[in-house]
Amino acid sequence: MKKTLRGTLGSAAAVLGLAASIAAPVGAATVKVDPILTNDTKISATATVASAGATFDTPFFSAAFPVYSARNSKATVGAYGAGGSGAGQAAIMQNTVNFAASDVPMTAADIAAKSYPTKGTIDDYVQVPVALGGVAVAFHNSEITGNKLYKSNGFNVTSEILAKIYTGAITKWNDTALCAANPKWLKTVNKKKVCALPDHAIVVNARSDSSGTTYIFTDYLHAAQPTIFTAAAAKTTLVTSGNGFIGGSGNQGVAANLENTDYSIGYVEYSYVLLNKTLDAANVVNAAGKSVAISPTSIAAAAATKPTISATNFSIVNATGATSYPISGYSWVMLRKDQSNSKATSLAEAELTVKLVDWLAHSAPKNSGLTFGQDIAAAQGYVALPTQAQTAARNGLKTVTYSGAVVLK
Amino acid sequence: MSSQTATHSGERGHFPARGLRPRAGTDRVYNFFLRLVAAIFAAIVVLFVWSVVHQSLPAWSRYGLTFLTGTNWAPADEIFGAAPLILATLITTGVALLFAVPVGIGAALTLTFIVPPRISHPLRSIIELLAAVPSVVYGLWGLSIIVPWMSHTVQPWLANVTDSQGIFSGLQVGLGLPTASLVLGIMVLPTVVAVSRDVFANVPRDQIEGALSLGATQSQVLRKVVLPHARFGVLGAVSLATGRALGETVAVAMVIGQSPAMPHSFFSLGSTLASTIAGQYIDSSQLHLAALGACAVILMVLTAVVNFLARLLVRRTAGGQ
Repeated sequence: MKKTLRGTLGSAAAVLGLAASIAAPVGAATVKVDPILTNDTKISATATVASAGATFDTPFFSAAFPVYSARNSKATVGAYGAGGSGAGQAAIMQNTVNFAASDVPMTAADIAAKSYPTKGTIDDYVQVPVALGGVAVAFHNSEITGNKLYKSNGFNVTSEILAKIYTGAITKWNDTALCAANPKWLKTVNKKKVCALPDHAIVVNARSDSSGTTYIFTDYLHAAQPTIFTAAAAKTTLVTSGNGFIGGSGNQGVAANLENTDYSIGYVEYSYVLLNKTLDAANVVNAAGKSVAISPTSIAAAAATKPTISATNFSIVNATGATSYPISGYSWVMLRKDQSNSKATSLAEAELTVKLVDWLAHSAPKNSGLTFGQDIAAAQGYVALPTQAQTAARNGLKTVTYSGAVVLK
Repeated sequence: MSSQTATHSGERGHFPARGLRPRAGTDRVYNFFLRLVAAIFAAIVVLFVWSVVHQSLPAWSRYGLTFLTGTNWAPADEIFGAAPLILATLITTGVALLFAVPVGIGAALTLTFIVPPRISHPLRSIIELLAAVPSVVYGLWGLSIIVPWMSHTVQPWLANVTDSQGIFSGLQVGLGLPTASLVLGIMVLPTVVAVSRDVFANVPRDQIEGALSLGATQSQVLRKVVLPHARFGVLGAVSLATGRALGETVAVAMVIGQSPAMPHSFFSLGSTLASTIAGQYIDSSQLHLAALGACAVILMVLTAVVNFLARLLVRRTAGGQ
């Protein structure tokens, strides 16, 4: 559903609107366009690239690839193989793709765990951020959303509440911690003001498949509440025999289970809350103690608190700053640093790989009339990468060489 | 077995055996290609089984038999005990058959012997159509109709009647083992009806008429003539339904809750072998993949055992005749 809905909307937008803007670029000479990006379509000969990896990026890539191909007659960008982050990492280690995408950067341990003769070491790869998104705390509780208090006060959760829900310490919607986080939810019983939240058990939902969304969510729980959410810092699966969570396959599976089950709570990628009218996103109290709703602005604010990110230091969960949404994260593209030792068999293929990734990771300059990857990403429900992350991506890509010469110039 | 004897036994009574020996050149070519496709088929089966077993080896070597007996399935901690999955598979299949077999055989008897053809003919087509409906449709129907009905009507009523004691304790979310069993039962029902009806229709007319002429009542004919004569075929229908229920993935995954917990209450969520494989395959770590491969091996063994038992039963009853 994820792929179809966003993919279809986005492809349509890309083909109709964005393609038009490419056909008639650069209105004014005053707009300064990045020289590398101006040359992004200039490759020395015809070439084809292949890519694979995380499903998180599918809607983005499937909308962006045709746009790039359309403006570059020498380039053929093959369809994205959305087999998951693990599949993407395996493919890049085996040199069967030109670049791969993963929700979590590849680590030295990931490479050590594999036995491919071509795998190399972590230093053989360049990893750059390519997408930014947020994980919503989605809930379905008709008693809360049907209450007039909801419209004026929303519904707040804290990291402590979430950590306790996901470790089984909080089981009821009117738990004292939830009442404390929602001080305006009051009703009068016997002339006393008492908590108006429903006296009903919480139905906990999680992803049953291994997922980057779960990774970001658990990364957040552990970063914010290390003494409550003590389990390994960031996990990619949360459903076990012990906790009895309802498991859903993919974001769409969790969203469907939430939709069908009243009094349930779960976590899904932001766009699923936008797409599904039954679901609401709880406001999350961030590290600064402020209750923040999930939105492109609050996700961007979280990303802005950590201007310098790298493949080994990338987590932006539990970000400081009053307006930061605390459950946010990047998605990554990985490619070979030495393109002579990659799937690429020609300079043109290496050029296309690097220039395409560079284009994907950049927004068009304001008023340039151009469309770059991040503009398409923003139209697809992601958040455009902050300028610093775009620069980080560029700096990473500038280290890529073919036969000893830098490719991106 | 050579293709010659295979063809011979398959077409027994239609051709003399000698007629199938390759004589002319074209015959030899034809014979060669028959052998070739048979060999390809055999190779595919062997390779398929080998690759699944091979993929599962790391899990077996790491966990051994505790993979079968362990009650905790926690992929993130690399703890893999498949007992909850095996139990959920057996329970949902068992309950589904408890529902589908009696109802299906009864319906097939009714369609064949009791209802007049002008009613049974259209019904037959509908049942055959239902047997061919993709399982995802049953899953969707289960999710949109059965799950809300369970969570709003059946489960609160059960909890109320039993005061939420014992096996009727726990959250009432509609999803879970009973819902999956019910959806599975309804899903395999058309298979049972369609196959059994064909079997009943092949019971020789003269035997039935003979029994009737000896003064047997309708129910006596059905019990003493039709059912004994058709028992192998009915067994075939049941084993076909069992196979379908054991391996059903999508419909079950949609309504069972995909939570690999040990069944403890009537409202328990669960996750079967097949639904776990489908639900966790993407993005899995190597050991996790091996564990899912091991689940596939268990599923293959279960299916083989069902097949074997069905054959054994057929042979035994045939021997007693």
